[in-house]
Amino acid sequence: MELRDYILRRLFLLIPVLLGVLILVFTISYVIPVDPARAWAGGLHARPEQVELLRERYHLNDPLYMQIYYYIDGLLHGDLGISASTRRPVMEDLKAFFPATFELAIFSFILAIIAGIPFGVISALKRNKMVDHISRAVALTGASTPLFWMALLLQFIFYYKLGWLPAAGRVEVPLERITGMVLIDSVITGNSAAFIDALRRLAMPSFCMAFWSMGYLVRITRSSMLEVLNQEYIVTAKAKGIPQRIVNYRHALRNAIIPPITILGIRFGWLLAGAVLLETIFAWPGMGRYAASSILEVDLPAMVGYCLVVALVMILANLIVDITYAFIDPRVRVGGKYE
Amino acid sequence: MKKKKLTRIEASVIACAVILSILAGCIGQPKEVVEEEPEVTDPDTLNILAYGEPDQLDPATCYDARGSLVIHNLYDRLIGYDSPDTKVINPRLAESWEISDDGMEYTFYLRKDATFHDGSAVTADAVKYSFDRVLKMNQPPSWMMAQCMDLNSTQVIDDYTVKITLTKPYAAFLPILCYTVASIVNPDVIEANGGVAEGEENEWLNQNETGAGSGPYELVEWIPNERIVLIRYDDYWRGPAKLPNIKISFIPEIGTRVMYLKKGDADIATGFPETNIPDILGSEGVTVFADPSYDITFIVLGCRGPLADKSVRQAVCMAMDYDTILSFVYHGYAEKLCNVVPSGMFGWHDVGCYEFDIEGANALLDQAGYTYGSDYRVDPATGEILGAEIAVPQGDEVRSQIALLWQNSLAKIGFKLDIREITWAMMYKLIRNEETDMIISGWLPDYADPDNYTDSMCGSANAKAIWGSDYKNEELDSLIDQAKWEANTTARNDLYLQILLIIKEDAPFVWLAQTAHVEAHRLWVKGYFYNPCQSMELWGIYKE
Repeated sequence: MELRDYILRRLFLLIPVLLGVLILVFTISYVIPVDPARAWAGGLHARPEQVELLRERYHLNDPLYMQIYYYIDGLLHGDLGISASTRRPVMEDLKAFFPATFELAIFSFILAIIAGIPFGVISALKRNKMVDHISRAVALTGASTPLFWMALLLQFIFYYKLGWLPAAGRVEVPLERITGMVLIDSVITGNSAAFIDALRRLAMPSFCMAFWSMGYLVRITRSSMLEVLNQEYIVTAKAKGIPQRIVNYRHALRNAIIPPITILGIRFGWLLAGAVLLETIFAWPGMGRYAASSILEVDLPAMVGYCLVVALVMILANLIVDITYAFIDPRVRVGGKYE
Repeated sequence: MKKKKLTRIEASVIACAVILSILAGCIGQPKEVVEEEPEVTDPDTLNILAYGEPDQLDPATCYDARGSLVIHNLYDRLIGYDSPDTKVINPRLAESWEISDDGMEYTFYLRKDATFHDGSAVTADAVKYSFDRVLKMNQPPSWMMAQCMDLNSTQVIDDYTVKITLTKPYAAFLPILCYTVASIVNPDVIEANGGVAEGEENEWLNQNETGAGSGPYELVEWIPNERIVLIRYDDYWRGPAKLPNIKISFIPEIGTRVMYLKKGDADIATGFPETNIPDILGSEGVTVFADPSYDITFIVLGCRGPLADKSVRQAVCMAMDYDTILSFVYHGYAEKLCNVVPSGMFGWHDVGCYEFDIEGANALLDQAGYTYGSDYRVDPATGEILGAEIAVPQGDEVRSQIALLWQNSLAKIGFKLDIREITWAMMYKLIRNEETDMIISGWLPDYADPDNYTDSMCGSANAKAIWGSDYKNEELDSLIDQAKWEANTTARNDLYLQILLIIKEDAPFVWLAQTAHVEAHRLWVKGYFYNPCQSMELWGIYKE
């Protein structure tokens, strides 16, 4: 199977998956014992006629299958509905909040790779040496430290005590938003003050996220490398007199990198779904906060929109991982064929 | 082998040392801070940390405090409050007004120097347009005006005189005009941006303001989930506001907000939880405002089963340890609530409170024939244990503690209280479906009038619809209705005395606390006042 066919087939699979997600979210929201119309109309202060008006407007009086039909009809026309909690089209909200999460995720992802994979490799190569112990201790701390605690600690030290970094927000310097990713926008518009401000504000949340992901990455890379280093072909390579550096990085690492890449794919999907606590602590206007507030305000259109985006992101992240396998490991041919 | 073991120990020691040094660094740091007299930071901008983001900024649609804070300062109204006292209403766009003897006609004389942000004059036409717009759009807060106005009510007499003829003489009409729903909007701007559609929101005004308001500030930018920025409107009729810029940031995490305040990067934190007050008390340059509000907390008694009996309701009211709750649950940031109307509001009367009196409660139940079975009394009507269930919202520490304290003291009068922790939404559903007997809830005012409390809570229709209670007293219903439409203030005040006496006697609710409105401020913030029925007035605030 050609790579192109494989990608197309995987993309085609998006349709039933997204439909499944849609039906699931609608069904859950249909059975939960909450009256969203009353919540939107002012809670206890809501007047019955206002509640009824909102029920009509959002088709809440219709049976579940009709609600799903209306939603899919809108979706096919690029309309994800109006958010009840922000009063804006959900599509507009997602366009505003997704870039924030994407920027944070990409930044922390890169940090995690830069630190995680080398640490894991060195740790494996220097097994049970001091450097191994240190990197394992750091990895364990990263994987086991609660994200919110790390975030608060960083804020306390770098904002409150030292005053080196801003505590929260994305960018305070006025900036024209083009892509929604403030670092890129500041580069495009040549706004260096905004770039520096955005970078400073990105530092703490991205470090937290990276540290968290890095912990897992170090451990997986280390164990994968150790497994490969014990393989016979490595011994053969060494026996042939191939320099140690080439054995380690060309023969061992290339084979050991598959499990870390799998982990990275899943992690990236998680990062893109938004980390609610982290985004809350750093007042980061991303998807996690949007999802949390839409759940708290029983904002069904926003909840469904969020779930669809997350499903889409997870599928695409996994697809990218599968394709990456093919590039890294010549034995792997996407579509299940081995040569 | 030896070397290997040694390395592990070394590594552990180093790891511990690193962690400890970080912790020691964190703990040790405050001692090094040199305390200096704080200087005003960012002197031209008032930095507000809001507890939540508005969902929209259209005065005809907005029905929450988060949006009201912004709308109140972008738009002006005919009248408003210049002090914490809700009984004193002051002129705004209306220089003066007259009320007919029958309380049906209100004539407002507008000031001639007020302009919208696009420079056009605020006229009587704009007032009519604004009020008719609210009624036509029929959005959640519109009921306040619709209960006594229709599309024929507002009449333009001349450019600067407007007469409003009510459909019924509602005495709370002036307090309603202080609410953001009665804000005056610029007809030209609205018509150019979607106009008015019956039963529909105006999506443009939900997110924008450009030229639509006549308040002391204009909307510069609103970045969702980040901030709202306002800039001073220099031609404001009261003179330009003291501070040129307002920045309202949405920082949901309380720890972050505390740090911002202590560092001086924020001036005001709204909606500050009482439980976090100790975090900032004593911090240099920070103060806590705890002003009496009209926000009340109470227990709804379902008034069915054993609670249908007035004696039982009175007894459970007497079995509440009010003082302990105020001191240890509310940490002193609340005062005792004795009846449905909060103190400080028109219509409040000192009709006495139920006091914590176990002996009195026992005597009351003995008298009513509830004899002890084993640990608890028995309901003679059913032969079952005297008791009830209360639903408490999950995760609400304050309400859980109240329920636990009450359970303990109710046991002393032989009343078995079962506590059921449930989500907020489920709590109301349960009591409305008669699947639980009591809930702990609260009420915030829409406008400063006792009718907003008495009818909303004790009128039998609302008692059933909102609170799921079977309480019904026809005499009370009639008095509430009479008081609602009574034009004579003295007669109306007397009616509220009668209403409160009946409510005290019937005890359909356990009135608990009138909570304080808590805000944390930097000490350099001046010119602030809190009115329980008006959002923060930014016009007079300055930093010094």
